[in-house]
Amino acid sequence: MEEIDSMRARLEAAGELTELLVAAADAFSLLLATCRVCEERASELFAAFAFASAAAAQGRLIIDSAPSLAASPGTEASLRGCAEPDLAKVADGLAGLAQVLGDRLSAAAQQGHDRGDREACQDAAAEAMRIYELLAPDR
Amino acid sequence: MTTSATFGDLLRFARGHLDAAAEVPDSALREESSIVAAAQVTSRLALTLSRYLGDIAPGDMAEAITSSQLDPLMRSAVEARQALELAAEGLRTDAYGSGKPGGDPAGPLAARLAEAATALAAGRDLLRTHFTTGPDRRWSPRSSWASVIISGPVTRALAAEVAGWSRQLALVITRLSLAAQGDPAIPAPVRHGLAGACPWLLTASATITAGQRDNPATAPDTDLLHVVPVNIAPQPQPPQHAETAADLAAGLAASAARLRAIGWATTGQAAWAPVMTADSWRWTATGAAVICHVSELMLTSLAGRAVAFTGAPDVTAQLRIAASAAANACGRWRDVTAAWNQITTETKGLTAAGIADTSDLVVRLGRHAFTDPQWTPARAHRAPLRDPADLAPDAAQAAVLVGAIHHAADALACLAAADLHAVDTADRAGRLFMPTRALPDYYDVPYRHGTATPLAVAALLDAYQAACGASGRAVTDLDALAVTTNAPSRILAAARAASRPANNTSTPDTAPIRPSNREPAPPAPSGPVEQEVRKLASGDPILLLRAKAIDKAARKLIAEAKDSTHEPGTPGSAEGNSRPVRPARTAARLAASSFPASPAAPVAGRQVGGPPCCPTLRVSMWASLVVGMCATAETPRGWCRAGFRAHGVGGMLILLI
Repeated sequence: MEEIDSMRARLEAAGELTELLVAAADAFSLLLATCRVCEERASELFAAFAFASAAAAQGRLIIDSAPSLAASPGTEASLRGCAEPDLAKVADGLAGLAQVLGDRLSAAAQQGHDRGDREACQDAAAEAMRIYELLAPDR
Repeated sequence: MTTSATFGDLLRFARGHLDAAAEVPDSALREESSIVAAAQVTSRLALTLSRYLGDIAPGDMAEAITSSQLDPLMRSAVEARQALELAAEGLRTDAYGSGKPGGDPAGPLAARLAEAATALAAGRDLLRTHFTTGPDRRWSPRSSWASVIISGPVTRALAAEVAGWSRQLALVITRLSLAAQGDPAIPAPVRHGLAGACPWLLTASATITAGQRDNPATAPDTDLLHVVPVNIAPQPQPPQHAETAADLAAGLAASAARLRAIGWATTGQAAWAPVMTADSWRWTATGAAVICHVSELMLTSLAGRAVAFTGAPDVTAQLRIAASAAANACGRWRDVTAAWNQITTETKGLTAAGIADTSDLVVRLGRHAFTDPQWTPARAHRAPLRDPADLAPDAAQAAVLVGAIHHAADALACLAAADLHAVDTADRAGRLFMPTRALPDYYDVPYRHGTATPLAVAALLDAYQAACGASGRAVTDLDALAVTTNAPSRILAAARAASRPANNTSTPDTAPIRPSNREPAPPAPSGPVEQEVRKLASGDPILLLRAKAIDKAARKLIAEAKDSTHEPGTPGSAEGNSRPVRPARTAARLAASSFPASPAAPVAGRQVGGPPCCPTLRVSMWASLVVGMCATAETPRGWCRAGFRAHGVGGMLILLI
């Protein structure tokens, strides 16, 4: 859970577009890895985590296409998901993270100068919002 | 909920009209125009029946007589087809006016028969929707039903249906013939045609029945034939609010049918279709994993509900096996999604044709399994699994559930095969890419994406291959379960069993189903062989059929010999000196160019490499006749080649000519 919280803080603190893109790429990687781990433990929530991980993988690939993303390998290799036993808590955390991610990317899509960046931010924001809709607790 | 029309629907319609035709009173047959029109329509019916048999057995009488390897059913189909063609020839009355073309047939009997003829022709068209015809006129499958249609059980059932219809038509013709005999207004050729058609129709029926003596069509064979659907994807049926279990099952079956059709339709498109994207493939694999997961939950729950299956002790074990297979398939589909994590295509979006139907499958299966009737994959709609007693209150409901799971699994198996093929095609077309960050350091790519590495693509294809295998195993287990529980989907199991290679009537060289659009030749006078057979007073109609075939083939051979004598460009002719010499289209040349110089495999009874065995007179004569037919315009070249290779007479033919 700590990892999710710190990622959320990192996203909120990201200033420049390049910094936001790197943080977004890492956030999608964290979402993907955590959802994959949770799939194996969930029964009633298997479908939600499975589709969320598909959206996270897609979001990560979309961010890769943003021209302003620094060509760094990212941090996905170090992310191993979340060991929190309470899946509802994990889902809450991931939904919150996805919401922040979506909001930040949507805002960046309005402000970016490069068309490629704007499109990448917009499409990735849509994936983030999809994750939020899948994992949010309320109807 | 609507379902696709089946062959059985058309058959019932046709049978209804044929039965009604039998009820038409004799008083309705007093007018000359009624009899002539009815004869003409019956000719159409007989011709349609002969085409059904042509689809089953594309060979000719020559092959039926010369080939010792021909299956009795195939031989009888060829002979019955010939008999039906003769009946159709005799019944043609268009020269005597039988109503306006396209207008209503005169009289109630002709009208009933016309309805039956239309339905039977539509039935044949329905079967043909499962095939495409290539430039060489060979048929290729375009649905998973294609292999069922050419299977032994369905072929037997179809031939038996033709036998039954021929018998019914014979009765109709007998009535018409009796009515015509007493009416001097009926032209003599029509009277003779009616009198002559009845024996041919009965011969066709008897021949087929005799051909099936050792292996008759069974009721399950007929059931399977009747459920063959038209190969048109049903309309999309998105989930509605508050669907009943029956609605859910019917909608699920419709989505499964659509996915199967989409799988066949999209094969080969991945090289260029922009709608086939990595997003779509990843999402579909995720949906498949979810379907397998929910299936596993339901099957496990059903296994704990033994009370619903009293009297079927094996069911619980079968349910556990199927649940385990579904769990395994789920794992393999998850592997596919993981393999997509670093791979993308140049186009994006959930645009593939099957996305909506996969989504409908997920939602409907979830609504079967969980307590929330509005269930969706979203966490907001999470709900506990239904209590087993609620899930399957009785055996009938349990069977409905098994059927729903079975349909979903069957669709996934098709989807797995289609996606494996499509992704492989996309890779060959250079449509798979990876982000530069995921490429090895030695890849120097000045773009954000580079071509996917062979290692990553191999892992992806391996994952699909495993998903294919696991989905196939799950379907096999569910086949057995569907039969045991008498699930509505058990027909899928029967279809799969029928289409296994052991039941397939096709061989690599001879496609059993092929177009047979040949119009019957105009009636020909009796030839010398037929006359001789008749002189011997043989009452065997099959002997007469064969005699007619021999005469027909001989006429063709003689006609061809005459043609080649006068053909321009033939060496020695005056025109030949002034025009480029082109090879004469003779039987010998065609025969020589139609098969390899040496047999691919030793033929039984022949010494490979040595001189051919001494052919008997009968075989040599037939060999010549077959070659004669080879050169005629109406004999498709492809079949001739196949037939020669299949029956090992090719080498002998060259020597004879």
